[in-house]
Amino acid sequence: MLFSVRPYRGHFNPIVPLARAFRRAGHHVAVATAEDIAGAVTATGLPWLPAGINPRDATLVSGDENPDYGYAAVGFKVRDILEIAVEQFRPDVVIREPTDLAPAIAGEILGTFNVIFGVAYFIPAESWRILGADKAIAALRRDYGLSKDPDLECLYRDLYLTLLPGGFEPFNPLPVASSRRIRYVPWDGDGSASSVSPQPGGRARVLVTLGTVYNHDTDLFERFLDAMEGEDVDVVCTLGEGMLPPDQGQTRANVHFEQYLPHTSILPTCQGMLCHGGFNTMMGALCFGVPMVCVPLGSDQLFNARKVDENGAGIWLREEETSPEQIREAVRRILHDPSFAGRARQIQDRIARALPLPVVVHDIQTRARQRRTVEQSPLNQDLPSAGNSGRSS
Amino acid sequence: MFEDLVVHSRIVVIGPQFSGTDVAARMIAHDTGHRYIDESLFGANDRRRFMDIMNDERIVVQCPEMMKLLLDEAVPGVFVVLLKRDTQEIATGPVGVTPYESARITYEYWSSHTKPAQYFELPYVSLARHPLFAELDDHSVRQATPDPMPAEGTKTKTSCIVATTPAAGGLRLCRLLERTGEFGSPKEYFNPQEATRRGFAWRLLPSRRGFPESYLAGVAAEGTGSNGMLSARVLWSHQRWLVRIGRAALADRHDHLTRTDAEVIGACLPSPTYLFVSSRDPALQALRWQIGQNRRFNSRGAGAGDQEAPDFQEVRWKEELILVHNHNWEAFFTLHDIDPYRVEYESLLRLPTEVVEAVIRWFGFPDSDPASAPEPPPAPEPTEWLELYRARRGGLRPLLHPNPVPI
Repeated sequence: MLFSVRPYRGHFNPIVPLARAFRRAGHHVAVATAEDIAGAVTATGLPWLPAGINPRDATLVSGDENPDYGYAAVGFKVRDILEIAVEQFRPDVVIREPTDLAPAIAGEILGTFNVIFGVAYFIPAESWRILGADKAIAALRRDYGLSKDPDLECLYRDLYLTLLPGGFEPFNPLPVASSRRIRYVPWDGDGSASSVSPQPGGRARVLVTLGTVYNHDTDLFERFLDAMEGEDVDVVCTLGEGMLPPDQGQTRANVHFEQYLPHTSILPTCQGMLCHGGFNTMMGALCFGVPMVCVPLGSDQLFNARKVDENGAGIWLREEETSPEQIREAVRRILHDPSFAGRARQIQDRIARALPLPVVVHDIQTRARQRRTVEQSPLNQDLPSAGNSGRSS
Repeated sequence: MFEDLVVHSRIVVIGPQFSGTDVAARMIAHDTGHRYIDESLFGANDRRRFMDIMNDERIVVQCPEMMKLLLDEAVPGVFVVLLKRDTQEIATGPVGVTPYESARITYEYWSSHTKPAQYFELPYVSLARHPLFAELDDHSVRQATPDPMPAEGTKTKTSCIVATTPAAGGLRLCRLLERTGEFGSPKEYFNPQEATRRGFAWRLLPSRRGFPESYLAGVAAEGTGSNGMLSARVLWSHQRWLVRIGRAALADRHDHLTRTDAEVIGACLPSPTYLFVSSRDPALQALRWQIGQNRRFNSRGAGAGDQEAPDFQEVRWKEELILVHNHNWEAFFTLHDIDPYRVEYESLLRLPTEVVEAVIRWFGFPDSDPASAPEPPPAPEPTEWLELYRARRGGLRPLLHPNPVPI
């Protein structure tokens, strides 16, 4: 099983429980990604196989094309995965996150069973065209001798796993041949303390976080903290690596700052969350039935925030027009109006009822086995008679 | 100090992370003669595996993440030891993070819940009275761990990097060098998949901190001979892993990002000398590689006999990879002005003693005896397939390059 992700912690962390579930089931598992998250991968005990280039390096080689999804960035990784397959091990299954395009092409060349692990909402082909990825994919397919694919079907083969609870995906049903809704298992490091307690004294606890990528927006942090000033709540504010409290020296009696706290430790003790609506942050809160106020800053956060709001598990506020007073009012609402917590708990229940990981493992291995019996790698077809034996795995 | 606890067959040691549960559990195991079980054996928080382990007897289990389970669901026949340590001390300890809040929550949870039937609270400060404290204490262990970038006076003085590609003779040369007693224990320390296996065997994984540094220290400890020579067999794909891990280990040096790859390797493996092992005929090398792989595959009972035709498409891809990686090594040597000692597979096979003698002289070990333990003869060269492969190669598909590598 080759897991492939772009080098972001937020893309890697959600796959760890599934990768470990495969390993527990006796499969050989490795993670192909670029250097930026090598430390995070090796720390989990999963083998890190260097593949692809770091985003900052991609900008140097991409020229005018999209540094994330252009020919250079995707092509480098296609080649690295093919090298891994020749030299290190030949995967039967490639499991990738939706923004990592290279494994879709490499997997097709190798004839593997391809799985998309939805660490974000479903990204339709039209979005890839807007980003210019269709041109890179077309050029790579041509150069590797693959057939034309104007509808970008290669990005949606063979199985799509969605982590989002019902009502959160933009399409229903998903426009793919095969999909499963699987249980999101929050994972944010092995160093977490799992023991948690309700806040003593009966005060509600609110987690304030901007995750690990967007946490440099000190202006929003300040507005969050100003909003919580003087409120009768216990505020735990996780700053993220390398960040200092935005207003050093100013005492905030009800705020406790932490550089980093695993959400799996702190969220069970919280009654609300104030955040940017990052995918893992949102899913973490929903897993513990915690309602939230989302002020999205970019990426998929706008979509996440809107879905949280639509599903009644929280409130979406627009960043550019949100004052501390409006934030305070929204937090009060999610804490005091029981419908928010009730809806969050219903969604928590929906997540818990999705397919558990051991079942997902069994399902994928069964499908991959069936697939191998009926299909061969395009590269292995029409070969001389001596060419089809001794395939390693 | 903990001898009296021997009457309890299942002892579990809990407390916040970084409170000293590991040290205390090892001390208790030492004093009682029970078996020490690290949390990594059950994935730290895997309840099912933890409960499986609790069926065993005469054990001391370090399980800081199992407090909730032990308090919420009475686990029968268990003696619980809770480490009590000042939370401020945990927060300002040597671990480089501030898990103050987690520690505070953990102690709150303990104090607000019904205690297990059998327990005692063990102050961390009392561990200092134990004779093993200096050896086991977290901070002391970190101080005693060899610097991953060994400085003057440390055990590793020089390094030998056997730079090679698969089936080029690197493994054979490493075995021969090891038998001279001058080259330490040259293995594939930087093979990404082997490194993970070693990381678990050396109890470094899963890690919460410092895996790159501790792994490099482990390599130095395992691979260095009595004369201070550390050797390793490094394929091109391993080199990239080594450079990244090395750069991470150097992260507290101001220039860790600006050092070249060769400088990073030099910081991890001091004074490196490169032996470049290659084969004159990459097609034959690729056939050897493929047949060797088939043989290993078949020896596991998974395939047919040894005489079947090698998969020529696979051989084509392997040949392509060998050419690319040989090219990469050469470019690396040129770019970093490295003049490696070159060993050819064919010479190594024909004149192993002379080749090893020459390598020994290159390194300045004149008194070594290269012939003391000769290498067993190699498998016959697959020349019978070479002609057929060459005849078919033009019709086989390239893999790595959209524009095929000229062969």
